[in-house]
Amino acid sequence: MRLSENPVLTKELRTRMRGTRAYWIILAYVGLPSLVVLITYISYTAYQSPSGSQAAFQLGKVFYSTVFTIQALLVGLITPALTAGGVSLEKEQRTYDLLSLTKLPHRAIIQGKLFSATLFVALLLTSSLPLASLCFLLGGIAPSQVVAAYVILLSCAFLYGSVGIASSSVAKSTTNATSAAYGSILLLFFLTLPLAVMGIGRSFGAGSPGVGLTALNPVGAVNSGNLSELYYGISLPAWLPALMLNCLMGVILTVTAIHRLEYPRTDRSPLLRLLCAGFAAVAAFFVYGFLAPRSTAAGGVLGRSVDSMMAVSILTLCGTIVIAGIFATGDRLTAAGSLLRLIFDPRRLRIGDAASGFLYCVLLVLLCGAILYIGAGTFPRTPILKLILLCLAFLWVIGMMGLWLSMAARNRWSALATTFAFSSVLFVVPMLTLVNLGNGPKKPTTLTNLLYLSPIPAALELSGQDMKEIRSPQLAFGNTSFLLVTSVLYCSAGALFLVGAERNRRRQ
Amino acid sequence: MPLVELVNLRKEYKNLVAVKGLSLTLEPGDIFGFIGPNGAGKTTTIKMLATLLEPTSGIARVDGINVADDPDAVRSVIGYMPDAFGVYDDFKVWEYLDFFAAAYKVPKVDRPGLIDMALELTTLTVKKDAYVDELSRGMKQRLCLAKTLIHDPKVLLLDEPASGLDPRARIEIKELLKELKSMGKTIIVSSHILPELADFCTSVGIIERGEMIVAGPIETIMQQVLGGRVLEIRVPDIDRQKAADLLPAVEHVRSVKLIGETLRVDYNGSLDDQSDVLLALIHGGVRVQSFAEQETDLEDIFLRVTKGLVA
Repeated sequence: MRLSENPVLTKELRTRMRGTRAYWIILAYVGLPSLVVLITYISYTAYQSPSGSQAAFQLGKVFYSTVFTIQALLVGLITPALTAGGVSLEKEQRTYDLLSLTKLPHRAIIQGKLFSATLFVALLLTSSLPLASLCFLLGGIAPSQVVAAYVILLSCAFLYGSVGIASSSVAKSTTNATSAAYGSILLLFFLTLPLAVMGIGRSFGAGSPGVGLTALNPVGAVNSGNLSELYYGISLPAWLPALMLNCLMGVILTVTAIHRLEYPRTDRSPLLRLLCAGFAAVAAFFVYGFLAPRSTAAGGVLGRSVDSMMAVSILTLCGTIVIAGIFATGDRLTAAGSLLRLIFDPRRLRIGDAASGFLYCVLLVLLCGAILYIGAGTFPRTPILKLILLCLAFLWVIGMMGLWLSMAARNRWSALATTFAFSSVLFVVPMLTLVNLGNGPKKPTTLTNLLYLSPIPAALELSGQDMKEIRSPQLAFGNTSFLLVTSVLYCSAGALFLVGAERNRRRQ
Repeated sequence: MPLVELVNLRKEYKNLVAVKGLSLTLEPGDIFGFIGPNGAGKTTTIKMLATLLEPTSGIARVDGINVADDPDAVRSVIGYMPDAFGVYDDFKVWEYLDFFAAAYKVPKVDRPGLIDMALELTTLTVKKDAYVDELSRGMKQRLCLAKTLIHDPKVLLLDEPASGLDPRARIEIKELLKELKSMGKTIIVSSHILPELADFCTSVGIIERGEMIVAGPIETIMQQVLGGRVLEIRVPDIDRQKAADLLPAVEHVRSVKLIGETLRVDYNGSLDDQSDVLLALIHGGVRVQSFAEQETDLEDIFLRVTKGLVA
């Protein structure tokens, strides 16, 4: 069905603009930044003595920053509210059954709701054009910067809208859906806020170090319209990675929402897996592309070489754990044959069950590892290989545990929650050792070796070989031996989980 | 080929069996009344037929299509009206129907004509441009029925279509269903208000705790359950005792009850022999004011066959 023929889209657009509510929202959306701009102007002229074109340029930049920062916040505030009730409200109003029995595919329902919300935000953004044009009047801002800000805000609207619609398709009530949507967006906002702060500093020439993913935060995004970064020697706009990641994440959430609603369900596992792999690859591509070459340059952009590799290592490992939990749990297996054969059969990769999820995660780690290896530049590659090995060992234990719990637990959610809890314990407990050791005497003890039970400190240990002065003492027996010990430990635990899963399967 | 066919249909929830091995066959043009107390399994059965719930076991076919195999194909031949439904309040009446017509992929050029027809059938033409939230509950019910008809389905699944309506609105819905019957639609209608169904159903099924206790044409069920028919006889006050004494002696009369001013006679003889009752009264000198066979009394059947286990 073409989008223009989608009755849900027509309905949403028609009813959203009916009555006075939409006009009040537009008024508030334009009124609030206008008021702030006015106050900014008054305070600027009161404390500065403007003269000449440079002062006008400066004021133009301040106006730009003010207008788009407020818009970024407003988009984050308004968009989830437009979509969080998309499905749950239909269920609460008892119109969902009637709608789902028509010939309209569930895809069209979700698309209609999401696009109408995004289009409404586009309308709000358009309504702020006269305000943005003030920047041109004063100068100091390039048209491409304004266009970039609008594009990134629209991509944020799409992402936030899809967070809302995904919450709505899962939650039982609109209240829950709204809380979940705002909670997720706030988490995303505050997690990426440090990047934004650094980006804003760099954008205004304050000399603070910049990071390539500034635009992941909407406030950072609108202020990074004039930035460009070098990726593998190619200069690209700084907001491009965030734009791609926002859109990919939005599509993943939208597909998940459709999958959640559908009956009878279409198997979307291959599509979802492809999208997730795409997301991981794009993230790895940009992160490693930006960080790794700089890590070797003495006094490079980041200054401290270990910081970048730490970030890369942590990102890779956390990503591994998250995806392993999600993909290696699922409904009970019905396929025949031994579990070990099912797990490693590459032909089953297109099937969305828990057994094939492990191999998929392995491929994902190898993909990220390969990008990291290539993007590492002149950084010593042995630690990277060790890191990939550790990731795989950790993936094995988490994956097998997920698989075992899929057979033993009552439902998928309890299997997933337990897997996450287990991986959190593996992460956090040895991390505490790291903190304690950091405060204690800086000499090697056997206790230090416990660091290798958690992949994060182990990765830090691997990536930062010259970190003695800032962190805990070195390992008592050297990192390679304990990397091997930890890997063997993880592999044995994973094998035990596999045996448990096979037994449970046979019993059923 | 039967239009609707249920074979040992079963639906289980965690700790509850909502429908236990239900079987039913309906031919084109049949109007089936689904009777049962609240929680008996009527809505669950209708929802399984409407493809909103997946049967745990058994087969449900509509127009020869298994609902579990191809729900999308089933959806295009059924029109479903739930017991509790919502409407889009910020829509006009014609917009509401146009929305559903578009959702059922009715070609754009055909929609205005179909909307007018549906509105005419449900006597809502004058409200075409009114907002849905301005309609009364009865009108909303008729609007939902109009929506159900917009794609011209072969089978209508109506779950408690007249619940919560005032007597006038209920009569209007009943008249509408009769109209649909004359149009040749196959209808499954559930209700726990029994007189609603007796007028126009060709057959009924009584369900309790997920089990179909009895099903078939009303006459047959009457014969099965009551074992005969009920005659209502009115006589003057002074002759009432004499009539009550005479009647038990007449052949095929099983019992006589005085309810208000009417004598209710449980008679299991043939239709030809029924006149013997009247003859006996007249010969006995009783002045008969009225003599009639009681209208189908579904309530009586219902009370006899159900145990009041769910309410």
